[in-house]
Amino acid sequence: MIGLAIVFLGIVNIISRRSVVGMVLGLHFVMLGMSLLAVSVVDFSLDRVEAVAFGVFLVVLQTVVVASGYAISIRLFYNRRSTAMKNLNELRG
Amino acid sequence: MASLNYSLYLFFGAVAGVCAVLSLFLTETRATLLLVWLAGVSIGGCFLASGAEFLAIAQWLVSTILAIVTLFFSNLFDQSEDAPDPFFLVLGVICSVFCFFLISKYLAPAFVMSGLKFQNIPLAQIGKSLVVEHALEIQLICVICLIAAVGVGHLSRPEMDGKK
Repeated sequence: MIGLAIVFLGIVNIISRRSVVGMVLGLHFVMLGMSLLAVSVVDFSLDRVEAVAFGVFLVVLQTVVVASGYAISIRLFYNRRSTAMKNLNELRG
Repeated sequence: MASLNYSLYLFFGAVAGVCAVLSLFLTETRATLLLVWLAGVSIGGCFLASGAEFLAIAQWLVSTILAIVTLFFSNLFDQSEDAPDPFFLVLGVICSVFCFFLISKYLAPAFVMSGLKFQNIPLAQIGKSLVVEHALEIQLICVICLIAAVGVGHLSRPEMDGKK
Protein backbone atom coordinates (compact mmCIF):
# COMPACT_ATOMS: atom_id res chain seq x y z
CA MET A 1 0.00 0.00 0.00
CA ILE A 2 2.88 2.39 0.77
CA GLY A 3 4.37 1.74 -2.65
CA LEU A 4 1.02 2.38 -4.31
CA ALA A 5 0.63 5.66 -2.43
CA ILE A 6 4.13 6.77 -3.48
CA VAL A 7 3.32 5.93 -7.11
CA PHE A 8 0.22 8.14 -7.03
CA LEU A 9 2.05 10.96 -5.25
CA GLY A 10 4.74 10.78 -7.93
CA ILE A 11 2.11 11.03 -10.67
CA VAL A 12 0.65 14.12 -8.99
CA ASN A 13 4.18 15.53 -8.81
CA ILE A 14 4.66 14.92 -12.54
CA ILE A 15 1.45 16.60 -13.67
CA SER A 16 1.71 19.57 -11.33
CA ARG A 17 5.31 20.64 -12.01
CA ARG A 18 6.16 23.32 -14.53
CA SER A 19 9.69 22.26 -15.47
CA VAL A 20 11.25 19.09 -16.82
CA VAL A 21 13.57 18.81 -13.81
CA GLY A 22 10.53 18.71 -11.48
CA MET A 23 8.91 16.18 -13.77
CA VAL A 24 11.97 13.95 -13.59
CA LEU A 25 11.91 14.15 -9.80
CA GLY A 26 8.26 13.05 -9.89
CA LEU A 27 9.21 10.25 -12.26
CA HIS A 28 11.82 9.14 -9.77
CA PHE A 29 9.12 8.93 -7.08
CA VAL A 30 6.98 6.81 -9.41
CA MET A 31 9.86 4.43 -10.08
CA LEU A 32 10.68 4.18 -6.35
CA GLY A 33 7.08 3.35 -5.51
CA MET A 34 6.87 0.89 -8.39
CA SER A 35 9.98 -0.98 -7.24
CA LEU A 36 8.70 -1.22 -3.66
CA LEU A 37 5.26 -2.34 -4.85
CA ALA A 38 6.58 -4.83 -7.40
CA VAL A 39 9.10 -6.40 -5.04
CA SER A 40 6.42 -6.76 -2.35
CA VAL A 41 3.89 -8.31 -4.72
CA VAL A 42 6.38 -10.69 -6.37
CA ASP A 43 7.68 -11.68 -2.94
CA PHE A 44 4.12 -12.35 -1.81
CA SER A 45 3.03 -14.32 -4.84
CA LEU A 46 6.17 -16.03 -6.20
CA ASP A 47 9.57 -16.38 -4.63
CA ARG A 48 12.07 -14.32 -2.65
CA VAL A 49 14.84 -14.73 -5.23
CA GLU A 50 12.48 -13.82 -8.06
CA ALA A 51 11.49 -10.67 -6.18
CA VAL A 52 15.12 -9.56 -5.79
CA ALA A 53 15.87 -10.29 -9.46
CA PHE A 54 12.82 -8.29 -10.51
CA GLY A 55 13.89 -5.45 -8.21
CA VAL A 56 17.36 -5.36 -9.76
CA PHE A 57 15.81 -4.90 -13.20
CA LEU A 58 13.62 -2.09 -11.90
CA VAL A 59 16.57 -0.30 -10.27
CA VAL A 60 18.44 -0.43 -13.60
CA LEU A 61 15.37 0.93 -15.39
CA GLN A 62 15.23 3.84 -12.89
CA THR A 63 18.58 5.07 -14.14
CA VAL A 64 17.53 4.68 -17.77
CA VAL A 65 14.31 6.66 -17.25
CA VAL A 66 16.03 9.47 -15.37
CA ALA A 67 18.84 9.67 -17.93
CA SER A 68 16.27 9.99 -20.74
CA GLY A 69 14.50 12.77 -18.83
CA TYR A 70 17.72 14.72 -18.44
CA ALA A 71 18.58 14.26 -22.12
CA ILE A 72 15.22 15.84 -23.01
CA SER A 73 15.84 18.69 -20.58
CA ILE A 74 19.32 19.30 -22.06
CA ARG A 75 17.78 19.49 -25.56
CA LEU A 76 15.18 21.96 -24.31
CA PHE A 77 17.81 24.04 -22.61
CA TYR A 78 19.87 24.22 -25.80
CA ASN A 79 16.82 25.38 -27.75
CA ARG A 80 15.18 27.84 -25.36
CA ARG A 81 17.56 28.40 -22.42
CA SER A 82 14.74 27.14 -20.23
CA THR A 83 13.39 23.76 -19.14
CA ALA A 84 9.74 24.82 -18.85
CA MET A 85 7.17 22.17 -19.73
CA LYS A 86 5.35 24.54 -22.07
CA ASN A 87 8.34 24.38 -24.46
CA LEU A 88 8.21 20.60 -24.76
CA ASN A 89 6.16 20.65 -27.97
CA GLU A 90 9.12 22.31 -29.73
CA LEU A 91 10.88 18.98 -29.73
CA ARG A 92 8.55 17.79 -32.49
CA GLY A 93 10.84 19.58 -34.91
CA MET B 1 12.82 -10.83 14.80
CA ALA B 2 10.17 -10.86 12.09
CA SER B 3 8.07 -8.34 14.02
CA LEU B 4 11.10 -6.03 14.38
CA ASN B 5 11.72 -6.29 10.63
CA TYR B 6 8.06 -5.61 9.96
CA SER B 7 8.18 -2.52 12.20
CA LEU B 8 11.32 -1.28 10.44
CA TYR B 9 9.65 -1.93 7.08
CA LEU B 10 6.65 0.15 8.11
CA PHE B 11 8.87 2.91 9.53
CA PHE B 12 10.95 3.26 6.37
CA GLY B 13 7.84 3.07 4.23
CA ALA B 14 6.21 5.81 6.29
CA VAL B 15 9.31 8.01 5.90
CA ALA B 16 9.23 7.51 2.12
CA GLY B 17 5.51 8.32 2.04
CA VAL B 18 5.98 11.50 4.09
CA CYS B 19 8.80 12.57 1.75
CA ALA B 20 6.53 12.01 -1.26
CA VAL B 21 3.72 14.06 0.33
CA LEU B 22 6.04 16.92 1.34
CA SER B 23 7.61 17.07 -2.12
CA LEU B 24 4.22 18.01 -3.59
CA PHE B 25 4.17 21.36 -1.83
CA LEU B 26 7.82 22.44 -2.01
CA THR B 27 8.94 25.03 -4.51
CA GLU B 28 12.68 24.82 -3.85
CA THR B 29 14.27 22.29 -6.22
CA ARG B 30 17.09 21.37 -3.86
CA ALA B 31 14.68 20.66 -1.00
CA THR B 32 12.59 18.47 -3.32
CA LEU B 33 15.76 16.73 -4.41
CA LEU B 34 16.70 16.07 -0.78
CA LEU B 35 13.28 14.54 -0.21
CA VAL B 36 13.64 12.34 -3.30
CA TRP B 37 17.01 11.13 -2.04
CA LEU B 38 15.58 10.49 1.44
CA ALA B 39 12.68 8.57 -0.10
CA GLY B 40 15.14 6.45 -2.12
CA VAL B 41 17.19 5.71 0.99
CA SER B 42 14.01 4.80 2.87
CA ILE B 43 12.91 2.46 0.10
CA GLY B 44 16.35 0.85 0.37
CA GLY B 45 15.70 0.56 4.11
CA CYS B 46 12.45 -1.23 3.33
CA PHE B 47 14.37 -3.69 1.14
CA LEU B 48 16.94 -4.14 3.91
CA ALA B 49 14.27 -4.77 6.52
CA SER B 50 12.64 -7.36 4.30
CA GLY B 51 15.95 -9.20 3.92
CA ALA B 52 17.01 -8.12 0.44
CA GLU B 53 20.42 -6.60 1.26
CA PHE B 54 21.69 -6.67 -2.32
CA LEU B 55 18.66 -4.78 -3.57
CA ALA B 56 18.96 -2.29 -0.70
CA ILE B 57 22.60 -1.51 -1.52
CA ALA B 58 21.76 -1.14 -5.23
CA GLN B 59 18.87 1.19 -4.40
CA TRP B 60 21.03 3.35 -2.09
CA LEU B 61 23.77 3.64 -4.69
CA VAL B 62 21.35 4.52 -7.51
CA SER B 63 19.41 7.03 -5.38
CA THR B 64 22.57 8.79 -4.23
CA ILE B 65 24.06 8.98 -7.72
CA LEU B 66 20.78 10.23 -9.20
CA ALA B 67 20.51 12.87 -6.45
CA ILE B 68 24.02 14.13 -7.25
CA VAL B 69 23.26 14.17 -10.99
CA THR B 70 19.99 16.04 -10.39
CA LEU B 71 21.77 18.60 -8.24
CA PHE B 72 24.27 19.11 -11.04
CA PHE B 73 21.52 19.58 -13.64
CA SER B 74 19.43 21.89 -11.46
CA ASN B 75 22.50 24.09 -11.00
CA LEU B 76 23.36 23.87 -14.70
CA PHE B 77 19.87 24.97 -15.73
CA ASP B 78 19.74 27.58 -12.93
CA GLN B 79 16.58 25.84 -11.79
CA SER B 80 16.43 26.84 -8.14
CA GLU B 81 12.64 27.10 -7.89
CA ASP B 82 9.80 25.16 -9.46
CA ALA B 83 6.39 25.99 -8.03
CA PRO B 84 3.68 23.40 -8.71
CA ASP B 85 0.59 24.44 -10.67
CA PRO B 86 -2.19 24.72 -8.02
CA PHE B 87 -4.97 23.57 -10.35
CA PHE B 88 -3.19 20.38 -11.44
CA LEU B 89 -1.99 19.81 -7.87
CA VAL B 90 -5.54 19.81 -6.45
CA LEU B 91 -6.89 17.82 -9.41
CA GLY B 92 -4.10 15.26 -9.13
CA VAL B 93 -4.51 14.85 -5.37
CA ILE B 94 -8.28 14.31 -5.74
CA CYS B 95 -7.85 11.76 -8.57
CA SER B 96 -5.02 10.00 -6.74
CA VAL B 97 -6.94 9.67 -3.48
CA PHE B 98 -9.92 8.30 -5.42
CA CYS B 99 -7.80 5.79 -7.34
CA PHE B 100 -5.86 4.80 -4.22
CA PHE B 101 -9.00 3.98 -2.24
CA LEU B 102 -10.54 2.21 -5.24
CA ILE B 103 -7.48 -0.01 -5.66
CA SER B 104 -6.94 -0.55 -1.95
CA LYS B 105 -10.56 -1.61 -1.54
CA TYR B 106 -10.66 -4.14 -4.37
CA LEU B 107 -7.05 -5.31 -4.44
CA ALA B 108 -6.23 -5.07 -0.73
CA PRO B 109 -6.03 -8.85 -0.08
CA ALA B 110 -3.29 -9.13 -2.72
CA PHE B 111 -1.11 -6.52 -1.05
CA VAL B 112 -1.15 -7.76 2.53
CA MET B 113 2.27 -7.00 3.92
CA SER B 114 2.17 -9.96 6.29
CA GLY B 115 2.76 -12.02 3.12
CA LEU B 116 6.38 -10.81 3.07
CA LYS B 117 8.73 -13.59 4.03
CA PHE B 118 11.41 -11.47 5.77
CA GLN B 119 14.22 -13.95 5.20
CA ASN B 120 17.75 -13.43 4.02
CA ILE B 121 18.91 -15.07 0.83
CA PRO B 122 22.53 -15.71 -0.18
CA LEU B 123 24.02 -13.49 -2.86
CA ALA B 124 25.14 -16.52 -4.88
CA GLN B 125 21.55 -17.63 -5.22
CA ILE B 126 20.56 -14.24 -6.65
CA GLY B 127 23.45 -14.31 -9.12
CA LYS B 128 22.61 -17.85 -10.19
CA SER B 129 18.97 -16.91 -10.66
CA LEU B 130 19.90 -13.84 -12.69
CA VAL B 131 22.33 -15.65 -14.98
CA VAL B 132 20.57 -19.00 -15.38
CA GLU B 133 16.85 -18.27 -15.17
CA HIS B 134 16.75 -14.63 -16.28
CA ALA B 135 19.37 -14.54 -19.02
CA LEU B 136 16.90 -13.27 -21.61
CA GLU B 137 15.72 -10.47 -19.32
CA ILE B 138 19.30 -9.40 -18.66
CA GLN B 139 19.94 -9.25 -22.40
CA LEU B 140 16.80 -7.18 -22.89
CA ILE B 141 17.85 -4.79 -20.14
CA CYS B 142 21.30 -4.49 -21.74
CA VAL B 143 19.73 -3.66 -25.12
CA ILE B 144 17.46 -1.07 -23.45
CA CYS B 145 20.49 0.48 -21.72
CA LEU B 146 22.38 0.57 -25.03
CA ILE B 147 19.45 2.20 -26.87
CA ALA B 148 19.04 4.69 -24.03
CA ALA B 149 22.75 5.55 -24.05
CA VAL B 150 22.75 6.13 -27.81
CA GLY B 151 19.48 8.11 -27.63
CA VAL B 152 20.69 10.26 -24.73
CA GLY B 153 23.91 11.01 -26.55
CA HIS B 154 22.00 11.91 -29.70
CA LEU B 155 19.50 14.13 -27.89
CA SER B 156 21.97 16.00 -25.76
CA ARG B 157 24.54 16.88 -28.41
CA PRO B 158 25.13 20.63 -28.63
CA GLU B 159 23.95 21.27 -32.19
CA MET B 160 21.13 19.86 -34.27
CA ASP B 161 20.74 20.40 -38.05
CA GLY B 162 23.36 23.09 -38.08
CA LYS B 163 21.53 25.40 -35.69
CA LYS B 164 22.27 26.06 -32.07
